[in-house]
Amino acid sequence: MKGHKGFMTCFSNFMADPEGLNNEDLVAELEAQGIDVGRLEERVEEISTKGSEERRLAWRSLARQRRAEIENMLKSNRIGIRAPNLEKKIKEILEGTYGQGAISYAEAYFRKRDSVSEKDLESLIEDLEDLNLLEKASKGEE
Amino acid sequence: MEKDRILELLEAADWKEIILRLTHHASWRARRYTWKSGNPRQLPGGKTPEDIACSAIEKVWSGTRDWDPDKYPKLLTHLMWVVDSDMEHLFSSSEHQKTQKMPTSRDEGEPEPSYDEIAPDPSLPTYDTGMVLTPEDDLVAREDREKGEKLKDELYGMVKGDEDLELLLLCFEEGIDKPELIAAQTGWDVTKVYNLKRKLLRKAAKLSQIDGQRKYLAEEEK
Repeated sequence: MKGHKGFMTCFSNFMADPEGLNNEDLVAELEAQGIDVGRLEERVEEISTKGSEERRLAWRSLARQRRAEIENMLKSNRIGIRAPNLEKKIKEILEGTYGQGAISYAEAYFRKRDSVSEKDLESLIEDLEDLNLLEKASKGEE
Repeated sequence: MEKDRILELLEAADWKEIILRLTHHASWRARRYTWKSGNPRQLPGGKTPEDIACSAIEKVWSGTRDWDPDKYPKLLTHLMWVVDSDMEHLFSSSEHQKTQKMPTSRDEGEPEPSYDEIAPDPSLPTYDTGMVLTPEDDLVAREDREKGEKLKDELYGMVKGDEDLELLLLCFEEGIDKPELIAAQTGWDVTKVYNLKRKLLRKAAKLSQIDGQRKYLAEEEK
């Protein structure tokens, strides 16, 4: 009968769901199957370490690319005002003084605006500081 | 940055616990299929259920099977779906081999299905998706059905005298397999359902025939 799960399907689904089982139950079950649980844990550790490194590398590469895009925005005519001190501060952020998180924030900030005024730049810096993004991001840096 | 947040979540995950749970899931999932090896621990390509579990984790790390924590907050649930999908794919590939078609391996250039393409119930048999059943398939299906009936009898025999486990099996007869629904149906606390699962897990290890239920499961859902 369609729409009604059969006995074996239900039994299989129920048993396959690890919810409610503790680690001791699971280790005992896996070992009973001949699985080397210690080796399994080593494998997942290796996968996680490698995955983390590769993901961080990819992320840094993306961040560098975005930094270049924002730097181009700063050089473009979109900033029609003379605010060298603020530009300098933004550039410091982009150079990594305050971390990669700030770049994302700045990028999102610029994306929302067609043109950027001196007030906008001040507001950007205040937001970055108020949100504590700079410090948080720099802590996350290697 | 979203990628940054996912990285932080992945780095904070308890992978030792996840691999235990995911391998348990993969192991039980493998028992749903009739593998050519006849053994749910010997999958095509020399793989084991724990290989499928590790591979799912690798795919989430690499972004091949990207995880959306907003949409699916539980990482383990996402990983279990990846395992289900990969297991189904592996089984389909082995079916292709059986019919002398070129094997199609996911890791050989074929694009990964998107998250939304992961079938909600990967137990649907390959031959339901376009393959023609041969008389040999019919015979195999019949044999599997008989094995399923035998397993069911064994299960009932095993829990005989234990009223709680008997009631749990009756819930399965009614098509109920979610712990919360079982609890609601029986009036038990969910904790009791979990305790019964642990009890059944220990008993199930003694079953003579617990694998190769693939086609039986498919048949009984028709």
